[in-house]
Amino acid sequence: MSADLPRDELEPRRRARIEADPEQVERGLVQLVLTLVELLRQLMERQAIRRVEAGGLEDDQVEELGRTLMLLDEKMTELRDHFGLEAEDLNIDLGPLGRLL
Amino acid sequence: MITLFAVTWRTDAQALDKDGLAVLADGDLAMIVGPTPSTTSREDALAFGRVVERVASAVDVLPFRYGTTAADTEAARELLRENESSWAARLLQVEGCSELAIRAARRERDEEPAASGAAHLDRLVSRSRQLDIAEEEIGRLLTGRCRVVRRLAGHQELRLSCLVERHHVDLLRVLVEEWAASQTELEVSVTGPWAPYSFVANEEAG
Repeated sequence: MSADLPRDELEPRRRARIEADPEQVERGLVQLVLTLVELLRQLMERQAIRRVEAGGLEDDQVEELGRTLMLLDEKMTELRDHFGLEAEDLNIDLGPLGRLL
Repeated sequence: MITLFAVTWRTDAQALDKDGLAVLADGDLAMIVGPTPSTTSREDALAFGRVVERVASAVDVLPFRYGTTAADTEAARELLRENESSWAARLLQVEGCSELAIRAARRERDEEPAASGAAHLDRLVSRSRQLDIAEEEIGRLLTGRCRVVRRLAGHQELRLSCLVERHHVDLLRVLVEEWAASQTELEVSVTGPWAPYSFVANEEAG
């Protein structure tokens, strides 16, 4: 069984237009940059958890690592609040690869 | 430009209610396609999902992700020809199954900042272990009732995609929801049945 779509149904009725509102562009750019920073922050957290679970860290190393992560977390929250973004805004759907975060 | 919705068996496609869709067949497989909207919006994405779920409720499918297109019907047919053997193998893997998605994450609470760096790290480790335990416990419920379980990428959350035979879907949902009711620290959701989006690719996701 095989059926072709009518040609007129296959063609978009009109070309999609690019919306170049400067405010939207700026927000999109901030969102993208913060998403990448959040990705790195999460990777650091996961790595830190693995290191703690593996053992072998000195107490002062654990304290320093934890303080760094705490500070990063606070700064990300501040930045999100400043730009009016929610945690779930810092994610990108990569289609077949799933979501970035 | 045409939108690709799903791949199914050629014989199954014959029985489908087309409703604005077209079926491109080649060999044993068929591809469900339709016109591509001129705009991209949340409504378009939801409409795409509804079409896939409608088809998946009737026949076994390999669903495409929203936004997957081909230049024209010939390009779509070419894609079908190129992937026929691998797609046929995957269709056999998902035969008679739907996808259930299970998500567990710590309940949102206002917490005091940790008193020290070590306490913060300790809190992160503890949350991570909590999710590992949840994965083990849910895993026991899924054993023998799921064909495949995949843990998807997620930070400070547990996301499982389960390929479940359709006659097990309701039972599994009840079991997981009963387990979830006993969890005081975790918020758990079970969604589906969906078309098997997470099982289209062979590789482990996440």
